[in-house]
Amino acid sequence: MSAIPTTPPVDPVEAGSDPRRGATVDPSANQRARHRRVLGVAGRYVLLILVLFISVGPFLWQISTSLKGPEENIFAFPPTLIPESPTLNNYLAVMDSLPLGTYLLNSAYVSIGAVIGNCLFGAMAGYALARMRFRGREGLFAMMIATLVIPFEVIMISVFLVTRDLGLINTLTGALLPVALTVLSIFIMRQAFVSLHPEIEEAARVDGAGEWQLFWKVAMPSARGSLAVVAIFSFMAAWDDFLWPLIVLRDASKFTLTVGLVFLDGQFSADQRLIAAGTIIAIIPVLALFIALQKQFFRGVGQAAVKG
Amino acid sequence: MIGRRWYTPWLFLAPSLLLLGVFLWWPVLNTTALAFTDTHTLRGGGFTGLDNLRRIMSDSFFWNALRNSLFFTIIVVPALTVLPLLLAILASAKLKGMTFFRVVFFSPVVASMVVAALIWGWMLRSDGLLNFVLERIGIINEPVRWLSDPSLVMISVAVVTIWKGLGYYMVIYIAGLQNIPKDLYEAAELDGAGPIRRFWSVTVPLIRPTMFLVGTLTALNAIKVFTEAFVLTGGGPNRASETLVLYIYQRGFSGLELGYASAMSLVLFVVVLGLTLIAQIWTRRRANP
Amino acid sequence: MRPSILRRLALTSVLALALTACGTGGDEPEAEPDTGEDTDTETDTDDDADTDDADAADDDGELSGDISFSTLQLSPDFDEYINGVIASFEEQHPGTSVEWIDIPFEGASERLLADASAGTLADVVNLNPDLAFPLASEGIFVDLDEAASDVRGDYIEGAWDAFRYPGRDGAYGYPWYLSTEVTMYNAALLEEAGLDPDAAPETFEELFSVAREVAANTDARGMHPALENRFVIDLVKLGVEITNDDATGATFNTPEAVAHVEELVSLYEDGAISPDAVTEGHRQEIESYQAGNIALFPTGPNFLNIIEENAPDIAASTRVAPQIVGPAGVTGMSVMGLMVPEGTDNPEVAHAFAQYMTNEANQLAFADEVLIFPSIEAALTDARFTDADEDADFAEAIATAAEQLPNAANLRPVVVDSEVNDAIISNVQSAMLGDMTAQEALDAAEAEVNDILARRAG
Repeated sequence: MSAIPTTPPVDPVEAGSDPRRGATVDPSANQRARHRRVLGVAGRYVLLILVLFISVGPFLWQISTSLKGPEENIFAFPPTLIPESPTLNNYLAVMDSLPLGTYLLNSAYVSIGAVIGNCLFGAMAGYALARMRFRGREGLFAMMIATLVIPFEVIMISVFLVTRDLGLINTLTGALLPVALTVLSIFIMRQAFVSLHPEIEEAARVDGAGEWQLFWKVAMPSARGSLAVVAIFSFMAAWDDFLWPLIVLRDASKFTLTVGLVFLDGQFSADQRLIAAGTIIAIIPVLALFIALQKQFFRGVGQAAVKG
Repeated sequence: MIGRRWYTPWLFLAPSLLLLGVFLWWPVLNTTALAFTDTHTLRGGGFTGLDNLRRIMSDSFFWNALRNSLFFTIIVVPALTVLPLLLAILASAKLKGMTFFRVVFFSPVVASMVVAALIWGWMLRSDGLLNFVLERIGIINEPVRWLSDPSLVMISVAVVTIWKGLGYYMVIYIAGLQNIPKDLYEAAELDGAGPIRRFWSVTVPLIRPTMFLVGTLTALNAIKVFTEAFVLTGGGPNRASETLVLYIYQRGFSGLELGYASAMSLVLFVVVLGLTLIAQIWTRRRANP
Repeated sequence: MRPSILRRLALTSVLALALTACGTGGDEPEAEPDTGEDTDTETDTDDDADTDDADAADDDGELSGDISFSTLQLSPDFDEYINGVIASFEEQHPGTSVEWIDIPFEGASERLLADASAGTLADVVNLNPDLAFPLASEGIFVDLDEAASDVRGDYIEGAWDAFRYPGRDGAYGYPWYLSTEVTMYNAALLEEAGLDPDAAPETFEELFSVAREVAANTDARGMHPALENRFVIDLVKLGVEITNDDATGATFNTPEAVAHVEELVSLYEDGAISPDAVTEGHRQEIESYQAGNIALFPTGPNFLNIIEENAPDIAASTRVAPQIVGPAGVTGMSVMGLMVPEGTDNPEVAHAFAQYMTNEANQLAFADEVLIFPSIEAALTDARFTDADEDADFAEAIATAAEQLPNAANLRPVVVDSEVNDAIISNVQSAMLGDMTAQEALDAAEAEVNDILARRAG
């Protein structure tokens, strides 16, 4: 994990071990550049695969476990990755024993609500904190940041009492509101807007744009990458949240997926295959969102805006 | 800042202030007030002034836990500020199959901690993979007790945390890297700057705001850590990996000493506020020498 | 995302809880408790007849009103059973209705504290003695010595007493289902070590000697100490009192305890215990057993089922022996109970329902569903528990466990919650690592526990 270079590196070892390299007599500058590029690409793939090995373990283990048949020992050491008799029965069994559809819908409601709240309100607040001057700005920001460190468990009972007083116990709205906006999102959006180039803003302002238009038409599009980050993080936070929904939600029909899935890990039965299948089902939407949103990072918004 | 009315910022802030006010600051304020009482989680309690703070001063477990958390933070913050940046640069390359690699790099973030602990257990246990490899290449002669040696256990916990955090902060960096204008790299390349040079003279200065963001976040999360320690070692041996939040939590939920737990959270809050200020001043000085 | 600490507490309790689902291979369809029984005739009416005495004794008037009933992770496996009992209760008392809420073990303690603070506890709450301790100590539950004195005699005494709390008079839970630990062992490993696989260890000395033999003669370790779960209970079995009666002072620093710690240290040094086991808990113990890395696994019979699910090869060579006992011969059991909070709006219905849920017929029907044991003394004489050689899956385990129950007690003092437990075992960890002597570790642990107890009293 020590050196993950940034470089299309000219790795001496690689260069020496490449037979084609030796064959090239008196390479022109052009060819050299091409070789370097090929080597760079190869080097990058080597690194990518290296990191892949470091990262992939748990995911692989879970997929493999979720596909194993009942006769295989899940905990055998050394672990076996290829199931002897692969089966999808575990997935069917999970769907059979739990109302996954309901759980997924509930989780989707809370998570999508959290994404909207965090992206919209987080951006608005971040924009005000980054681009507007007003009395108390620094204090407000410091207060937000410092509360990031308070462990939720410490304030949990107090939050629960507030939720009760608002009549939101056993409602999905009650599960949503405490995660509908997090300081983390405000922080990320503020950082994004801080590095926004003032010239763009000024140009738009000269064109007579109002404050809201500036925010919505100029600032938001140029912070698309950060919005994607906030969307992923807030979706994940809401999707994975366990303790709070557990405390607020009472009826099984209101459970989110994370709460529902722990029922697979019971005192009478704890089949790791089913637990793994449930986990994979829970992870897929998060990864799908990640795949969809990571493209936003590579739109090259920043440079277009700066050039303008 | 022309033609802006005084209340415009507050209109932008209004929804946030409402949500945070009700679901964060009010509970925090409530809880902070408890720091000066002997409140029992279920029973309530009375005002005791600074008794809790005095008790913290003489509570050796608190200091042990704070020391563990700070040690952990010192290991984790630099690693998680730098390594995800390198990973993000690697993952930003325009190569075939990159989406796949990005997803895999991100996957530890969503992996369940119990499964991560199982797999890291295979790596770190005394007859595990890591010791096997180290013994093979002759670095060690006898198995290292990564998970039960009091002087190593916190480092092992940190390694797992770093591993799990790489993908998370990579995402922030990938977004940040895209805001660096490509023409700057092209200009640097024309000037004959090699990749390493370009990294130091273009990437690092322009990514610094993002590094500040990531550094702050890793520090805040590191000082709050407990899941990893809890799942891997349960805080042992003999509290060698008991972190501050683990301890606070125990007092508040097992000991039901909500007042004392609140007081410790308040101390944590102040420590973090102080560290944030130091970090801010430091970055500001770095930014404008 | 954050596996709560209470997960650990929960696991502690789960460990103690020895419960196992029947129909292990999934080959038997889930039987319905009240209707799916062929052997007990059409049981609905029988159940009703049985329970009427209990109800009548308690309250002759017409019951009416709504109550809520929370359980600990019984859904979805026992939906039909629980809903069946609720339905027949509602049928018997037409004016009543019972709303069932199921809470997973993970996060249960936080949820209970939040509910207790906000006054939103269910009217009948299913808890084990450890989870109930913080709430019961605050007087949140009704004293059943008074409120249910008429039915007290029906329950096994040790189970009723499991819900007594130091510093308070009274008992606070209707005992519900019970379980008791047995010793599982990997017969193949014993054989490989040259031991007789039929001669299972029954005392601590035998346990330790088998562990050493296995470690010496095979690639596996002998046992896992799972200090967090087992250390305190083992001390009690060895005749050590953990605290004095009113839980104001630690009393566990005795020569027997020192000897036990020294034994653990020497097992550790001999390699009978894995070097990593010091900081590992029950989760890693199960994993190790399922991986075939340890030979001996004292646990609840419910784990037979879980082992069969996850490690069928290990399950096949697993055998079951009676619980390890110390010189005093006491055996432990774990108890689930039903509590009625003082604040309930409808105490009559709550008590009637709790008694109905725990009556003989309904508990026997529950035991048909899953390998648990009823807390009603008369129910334990049922043939299914006494006749061991049926071809039922776990007949051996059932008989072994049922035999132990009448004299069993909840050995883990409720005062040993995670804070007290940590104070004890963290020092034992140091002893095992050789950083302290056994005596020093227990001295330090004693001092820490005394501090905690003094703080709680003051």
